[in-house]
Amino acid sequence: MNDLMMNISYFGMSFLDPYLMFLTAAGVFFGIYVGAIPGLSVTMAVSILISFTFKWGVNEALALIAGIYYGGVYGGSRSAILINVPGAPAAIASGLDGYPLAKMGEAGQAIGLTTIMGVFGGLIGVLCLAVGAPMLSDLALLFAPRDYMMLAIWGLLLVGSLSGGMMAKGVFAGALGILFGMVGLDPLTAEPRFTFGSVHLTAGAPYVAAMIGLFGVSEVLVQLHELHFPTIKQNVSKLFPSWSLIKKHLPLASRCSVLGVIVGALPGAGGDIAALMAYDHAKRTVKNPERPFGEGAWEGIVAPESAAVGSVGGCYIPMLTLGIPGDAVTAVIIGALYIHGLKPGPMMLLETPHLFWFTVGNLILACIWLAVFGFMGIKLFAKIVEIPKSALLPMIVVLSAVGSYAIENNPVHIYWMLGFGVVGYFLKMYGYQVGPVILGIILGPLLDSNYRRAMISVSNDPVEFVAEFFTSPVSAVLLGLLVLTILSQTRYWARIAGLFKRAGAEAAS
Amino acid sequence: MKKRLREKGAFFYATQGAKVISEKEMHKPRLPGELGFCLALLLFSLTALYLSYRISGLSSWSSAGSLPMGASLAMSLSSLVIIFRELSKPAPELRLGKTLAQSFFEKVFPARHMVFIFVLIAYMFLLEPLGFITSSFLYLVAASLVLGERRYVHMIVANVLSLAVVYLVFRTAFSVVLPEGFLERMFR
Amino acid sequence: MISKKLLGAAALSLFATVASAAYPERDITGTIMWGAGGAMDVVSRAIQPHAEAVLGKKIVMVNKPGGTGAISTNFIVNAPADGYNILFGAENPQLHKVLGLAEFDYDKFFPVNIFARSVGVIVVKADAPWKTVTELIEDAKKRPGKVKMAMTGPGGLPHTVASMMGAVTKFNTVPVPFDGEGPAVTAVMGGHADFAPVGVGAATESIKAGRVRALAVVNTEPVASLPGVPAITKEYPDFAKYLPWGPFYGVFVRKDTPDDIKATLVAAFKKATDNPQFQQLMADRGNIIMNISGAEAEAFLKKWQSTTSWLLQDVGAAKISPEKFGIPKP
Repeated sequence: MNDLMMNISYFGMSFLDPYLMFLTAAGVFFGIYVGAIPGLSVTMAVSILISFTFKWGVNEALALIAGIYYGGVYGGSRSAILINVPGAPAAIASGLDGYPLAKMGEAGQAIGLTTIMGVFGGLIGVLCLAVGAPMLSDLALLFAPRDYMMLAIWGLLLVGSLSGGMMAKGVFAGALGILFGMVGLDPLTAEPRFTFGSVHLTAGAPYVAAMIGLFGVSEVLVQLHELHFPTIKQNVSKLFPSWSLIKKHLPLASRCSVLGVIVGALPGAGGDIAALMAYDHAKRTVKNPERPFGEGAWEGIVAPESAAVGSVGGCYIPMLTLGIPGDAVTAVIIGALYIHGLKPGPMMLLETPHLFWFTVGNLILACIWLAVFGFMGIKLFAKIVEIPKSALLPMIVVLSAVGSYAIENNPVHIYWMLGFGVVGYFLKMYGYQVGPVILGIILGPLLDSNYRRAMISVSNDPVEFVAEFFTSPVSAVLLGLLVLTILSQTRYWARIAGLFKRAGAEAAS
Repeated sequence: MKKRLREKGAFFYATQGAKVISEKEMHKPRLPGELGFCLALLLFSLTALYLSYRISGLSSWSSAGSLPMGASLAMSLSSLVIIFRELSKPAPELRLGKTLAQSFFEKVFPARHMVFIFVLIAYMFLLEPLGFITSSFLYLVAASLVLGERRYVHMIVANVLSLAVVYLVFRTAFSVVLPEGFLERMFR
Repeated sequence: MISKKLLGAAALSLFATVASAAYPERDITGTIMWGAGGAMDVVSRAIQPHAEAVLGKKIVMVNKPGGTGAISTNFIVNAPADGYNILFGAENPQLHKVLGLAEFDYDKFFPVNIFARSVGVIVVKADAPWKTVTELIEDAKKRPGKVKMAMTGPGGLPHTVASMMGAVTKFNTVPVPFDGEGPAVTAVMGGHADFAPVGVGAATESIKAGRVRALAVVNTEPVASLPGVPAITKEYPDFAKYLPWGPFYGVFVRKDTPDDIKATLVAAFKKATDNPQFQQLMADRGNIIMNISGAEAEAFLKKWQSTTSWLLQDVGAAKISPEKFGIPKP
């Protein structure tokens, strides 16, 4: 009983202390801009805060960081929707349908819907953290390299739905992305791959620069063809989506949020992968969207946004319970915890018991602020799209260049950006989509290192490699799901489903 | 209507790529340069396949070259499929008296694109020697001119203001050190 | 005569104080060799406020990762040697020559301070059958190709300690490379690898919580943060020739930086490293404080390079033989 009272008081700490309240709010506000500007990342912002907040109490520092984290993950979709340049990798999927919405003048309502669904996903994420943290962290530990490999393959199946006109072109683009992801020193053996003897290539193709180039610069080049088109007037009279629209998509958002939590809880997979998988999930399960996917389907922004923001709660799980980062941001937060004299690890919650419920309460507070700030400034943001192209396009290029430079303070990343931009332009012109390329760049390294790790673990014995998929329960379940997903894409599936339906109908009658 | 769509040509392909999945699409003529582009991609894929093989050969199931080989093999095979499909489409429609190259530079890669990319390359190389503010200002002016902006005063004022905002936000709020030239050093 | 000399010395020292009082007159840029969230990033940002307090100017921190550190060393070597560009760097450049990543290493730099070094520890899953390193190694010899070791890529602590173990005990394991020390410990916890040689900092908390068990520390004596865990030299005295060994964290400037600026920086970082808050952080992360500079640090760098380069050469991970660069055998 006493424990319960204590936990409730820890939970309420950030709601009752006006200073913590303010810091969380400031974090969310600041974070939305960090997220919206390509090249500024939450990882970077939190890292800067480490030396900025080192004299503060740990609660104050954590409150500010939590705010920035939520704001940043959410903010990425704004630029993706408005100018088709994702502000962060987690927002790539949000742009697939968000940008077409902006082209129809619906950017205001699109951002409104992402806000609602982001907050909803965020709350589900915190809920999972609160009730399932120990269980989910133990589950995450059970994931072997071969399971991560299957996760990567699962994500790559999305190529099928992103390929546009011709499947072969999608496969080509996806494989091209994987190949780009392989450039650099092999993380397992440090063998150089496609580095051609250059030190600058050893770090590999920087995927944020690739993202900015493929989406931002190539989009600018495509738009040069439509300079004479009038700018699209954005309808900002109604930002808050109708209740029926929200209600309709809540089931999808719930599923995607949980998906986000699970992917977030896995060390080495974060919001970007969660959002892409959620988009794929939506595309497979939603049979009759109002508008087709890729042309402004509401589902196409609901799914990735709820999963991306939901993944934050998931990323906190292994960090709080085991001291293992769930993604790049939580890796930095762990560093911050050390500097504040805490010892992240399985003992942390025993040594500093207030931390868990304080964090849960604080994350909920951050979600609430997200709902507030998410609806602020939309009108101003939407005006960006109404700027004449002759001024807007060069400005997008400057921001893209600065963003690419800022990732690692390295001018070489600007060259990458331009290279990807020009290649992306020609790919787009000839009917190849750039989505699969970035998918390959993100998932290729995950697939590569985990496939090889799994193979090395069985001493390169392919028979044992295959056998392990059936002997481990986690792998068997994942394999089952994977096979079902692939089957559901073939025409046999419809036939089997039809048989079942008929049998069901007969049984009912 | 149909004719109008065709005139939109390249732009239509690029922006509506996801929409046009119909069988009819298969019988649309190729864009100028499309076949050449696909052939170039095939050549690139085969080169990548060779380079991937060179990484570690077929030494083991888990060698560093295994996934690169897989990816470039997939690229090579899919390029072959693509070329085969492209060949079954009608050849690009050329307007009277125009060669294939001429219509490529007209529809796919017009002069404005080339100049725009050239200005962008110049910007990249001037960024470090001139510093962020000077080089970006020059770039913004040049690019706006290429895009046909003619309200000079308006343009210069807007560019200066937006650059100042970008610089201040990055430098002070996010402590990102942008390339410094004489102008930035003056303010320090 | 004597007075003249004295006067000269006084004038010189006055000049020196004037010069060092003038430095730093503006903000210093601190380049961090690794990205945000890495161990180097945390250590650099933890010492930054303490050093700023002594220097009286801000240090603007910039991450420049890439090329396992070669991008940042290249940047500093090409920046002016005026003390306004300092490098927060780890051990990696000492291997750049043998790994073929750069033509130079810390020989072009002056070590302002080497804050601390890390120590290796060998961990197994909590319910693993082995109680000592000897039991583990004998079992691995009995079942060749069955015992899985989690490690990282060449040059990292797990890889180097694994190479030492290989050289000393001639055992036969399946080395599975993971993305870092943290993921290696996670793999041991989840049972995807049987044991892992990692840095003490990466494993301490999991050891305390009983998730993994420590068999030995890779040091000549036990370390304070892991009481009761024996030193590996107790079972395998041959290890002593490689020890003390561990990745380190330091701050560097170009070698041709003026001496008075070097002196100012050395004094500032010595005091910053002595800060109790920083010392506590290092202890929590399982690092051993060194706080050395100048000639002492250079000697440490030389020994470290010789040990590690030749180990890499012996296990075939070096691209270019250390002999070519005149790196002496340990």
